[in-house]
Amino acid sequence: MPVKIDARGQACPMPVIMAKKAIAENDSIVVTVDNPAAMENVRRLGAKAGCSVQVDKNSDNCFDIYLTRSKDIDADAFQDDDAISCSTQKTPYVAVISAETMGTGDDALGKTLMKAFINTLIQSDEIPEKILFYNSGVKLAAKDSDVLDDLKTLSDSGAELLLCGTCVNFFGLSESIGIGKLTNMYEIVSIMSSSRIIKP
Amino acid sequence: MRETKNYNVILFNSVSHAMLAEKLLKNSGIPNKLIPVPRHISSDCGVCLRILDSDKENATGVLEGKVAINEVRNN
Repeated sequence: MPVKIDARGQACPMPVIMAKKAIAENDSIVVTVDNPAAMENVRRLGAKAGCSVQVDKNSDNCFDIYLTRSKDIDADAFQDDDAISCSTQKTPYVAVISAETMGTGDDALGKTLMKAFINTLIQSDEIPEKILFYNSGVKLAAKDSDVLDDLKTLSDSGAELLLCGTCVNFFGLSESIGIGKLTNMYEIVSIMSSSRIIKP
Repeated sequence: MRETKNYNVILFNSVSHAMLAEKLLKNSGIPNKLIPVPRHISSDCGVCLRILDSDKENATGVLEGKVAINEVRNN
């Protein structure tokens, strides 16, 4: 019988560390985790260590990962820190909208691309933690913007929308902003220097 | 997320046709949204117009003779 390891409720990289310790001491283990990222990481550890790996998905959205050691197991794999990385876990990101167009070249095309970009953010697996708007990007948050409904959806889903106050003032939009909170250069620099950024 | 309404998408042969059609529908007061072509329809980098199912006849009427429509289909 495999040794049972219950890693449910454990944050990354604990499930991998628990699995690593257990498989070093036992020939056969079954690790139970409660999210796909942990499952991937444990599976990767097993594959890397030369174990035979079998994954069963339980009805309650948990995974049982069966790891069985082969005879000539690779002892080095247990020393490898890569094996306990959390690379499949998604990290939060910030979308930086620096213009009302996406890319440069043709403005009409750029506006079209920006609409498609913002609509696609809604459908992506993970929405941005924050969205920064500056220069003509702030026009997208105006009351008459074509993407206002999409920005509302993003905001309702938990994204924080931050608008450059200087820019809102420059374009005379102070009275006609439809969504978002005004911010300043200190906050913009602070967020950009500490975040993973995507910029259309 | 808000897929409670029934939508159709209008596909075009080029991005500029989609952009022109967006303008024509907007001027005619037909609600529409320019979105990327859904993945299950095409993997090309393209945009299309999403309209309400109930506006299908109106929209194709407005565009007829002005913009060539590739296809109208359920989203």
